[in-house]
Amino acid sequence: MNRRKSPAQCQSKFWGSLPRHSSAPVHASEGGRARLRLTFGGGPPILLTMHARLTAFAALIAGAGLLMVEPARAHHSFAAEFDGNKPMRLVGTITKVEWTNPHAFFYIDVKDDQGNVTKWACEGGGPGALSRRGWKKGDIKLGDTLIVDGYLARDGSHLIDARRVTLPDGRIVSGASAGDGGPQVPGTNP
Amino acid sequence: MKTTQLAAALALFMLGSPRVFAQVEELARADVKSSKPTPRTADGHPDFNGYWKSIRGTITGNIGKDLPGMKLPLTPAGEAALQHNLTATIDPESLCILGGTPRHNASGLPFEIVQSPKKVVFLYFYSYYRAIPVDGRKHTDDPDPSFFGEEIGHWEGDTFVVDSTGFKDEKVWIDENANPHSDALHVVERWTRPDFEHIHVDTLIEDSKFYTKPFHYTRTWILGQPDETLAEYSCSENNVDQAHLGFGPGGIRPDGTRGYINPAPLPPPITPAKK
Repeated sequence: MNRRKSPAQCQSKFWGSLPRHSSAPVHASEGGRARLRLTFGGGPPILLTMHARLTAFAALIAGAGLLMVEPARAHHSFAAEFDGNKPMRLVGTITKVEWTNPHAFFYIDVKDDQGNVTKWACEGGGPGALSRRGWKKGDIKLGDTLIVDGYLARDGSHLIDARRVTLPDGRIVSGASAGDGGPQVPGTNP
Repeated sequence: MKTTQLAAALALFMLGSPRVFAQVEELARADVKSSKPTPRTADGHPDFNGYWKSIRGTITGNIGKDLPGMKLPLTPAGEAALQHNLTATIDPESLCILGGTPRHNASGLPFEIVQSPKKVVFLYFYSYYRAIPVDGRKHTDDPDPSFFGEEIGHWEGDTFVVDSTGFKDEKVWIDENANPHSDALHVVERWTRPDFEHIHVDTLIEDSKFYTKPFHYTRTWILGQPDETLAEYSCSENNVDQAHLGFGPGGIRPDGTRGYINPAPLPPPITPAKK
């Protein structure tokens, strides 16, 4: 059985020190037909056949291509607030959700290897933009674990522009504000 | 069918599927050739009522997009005002201040028009509006400065002309890229609806303080789906960004739109382990 490395094991100087992800994907074999079992955040495992993997991969690539064409038309410019040279990954549990305009915010507690907790604010698009991407308010709840990939605020505060979010059910969604001029993110839902 | 062929077919299916397409349509729509004529109101004028969306591929947010090299003809005072905007002002719209005219003509966001014989109202994405009287009035001698200006509309055949003066000169950007305008701004818009699917504007911008000569901004929008409408948007509801925004628009990309240039890549998405 192959066990992929957790984000903590994959740390590099570039990404910095990150808390260990709560569960790692596990590869399993059932009935002679190779399947992948993906688990996230303690939820039920998702079984994927080769066929399903290719379908999902193709859909993601299609979605990525479609994402690339968004011009700038948002409430504010990404680059005026966030630093595109400071990408990062946060893994934490949700403590607060603000499903509001101009942007939705969710706040997560990120625990390091020593058990110290840092509070982070994660900015997404407005509720309309997020729901158009299939991300409804009810998809995340207090206590859920999220993996948030994005860029750090320029002023050094614990604020990240959530450009890619891995939800508790394993879906990967774009949290980005529509057309804010920020980087488009491969591997997310269109 | 080979697995790769199936994957490609499924990718194409996903591209064309209503759910994916609707999500990508979002705030812009691919252009179409219209086969239906211009609708008209009871008084015979072109009917501008509708939900209007950016045509995919339009350069948005740049008021100089139609000029050679997108270079605006700034005076020395205009150059100084631009530098001030870039280095000392936060985008007014991000502070929930009205973008006004002509910034909204360059915006990538959809808008709606509600048209009646004596008033034409533009409804904007951020839940504000401008109401243009069409009653033969003339400009006042000393209008109170405003973000949309003192706007007056009249018809010239099938063209709806909006003439606006009396603009504010503080907390104003003329477009997303922080270009400036002064209180000498005068904007004349000529709106037409060439066919059922499209609405078009030719915006003449003159500002003797900041620009050496008048210039044009032209744009065509496309009709949204019949059930599309603006949603409520309360800009100050939770404007967390206000305390974190820096000055200026961020970088301007080679295509003339604002955005980040060459960002560092995010960590790769977490994918299932492969056998």
